[in-house]
Amino acid sequence: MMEVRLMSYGALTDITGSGVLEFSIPQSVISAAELMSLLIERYPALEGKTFRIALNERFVTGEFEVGSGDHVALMPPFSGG
Amino acid sequence: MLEKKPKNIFVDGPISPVKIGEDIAHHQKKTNIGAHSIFMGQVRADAVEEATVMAIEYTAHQEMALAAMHEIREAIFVKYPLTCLHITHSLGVVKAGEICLFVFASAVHRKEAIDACEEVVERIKKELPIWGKEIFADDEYQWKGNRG
Repeated sequence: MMEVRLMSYGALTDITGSGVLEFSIPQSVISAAELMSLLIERYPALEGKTFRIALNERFVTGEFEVGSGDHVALMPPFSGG
Repeated sequence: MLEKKPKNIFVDGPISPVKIGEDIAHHQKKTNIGAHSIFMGQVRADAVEEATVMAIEYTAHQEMALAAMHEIREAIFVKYPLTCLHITHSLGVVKAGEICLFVFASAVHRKEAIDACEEVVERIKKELPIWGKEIFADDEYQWKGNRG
């Protein structure tokens, strides 16, 4: 089974739940666009939400690839302080 | 004065005013300091419709927050001639009226301390992956948003 370790934060935990979620991917490496469509398929309420993605603890934008075993974090706008 | 390893900034629950007083007292032996600028964020009992915020529960991506804070510290020390800079941020539940953020910048002269303190506070709010959940009575809540 190929999986990424998915975590969401802040308001997004209302959609996905908190803690580490094992998230299956259909092949060993998927594109950013494939990740987004899989996320929205599993969590339709994510559609239209503003969030940044961190891959293995680094922010990524645009084109990137996600592989089995990677850590994917979904982060809505920050509200510390 | 660049540091190699990210320092922890997080404490569980509110930041004690006694601890803040002790932190200030600890700097009395650093007699090259001529100015401290401190910022304390306090949880506000905001009224939202008919409910009042009782507390904020903070969560963070701790590893990324500490890495981001480390970068901010390094940039601040390059930009301002500070003697020292201490940052503490709460995680978990902080009740209305309690302190959730403490930034303490010290320098030879006041301008650097004041400017650095302000910039650090602004950057913490914008750049650190920390989230606040505003808790009302009866277990209702809403996710906090930061003003620009």
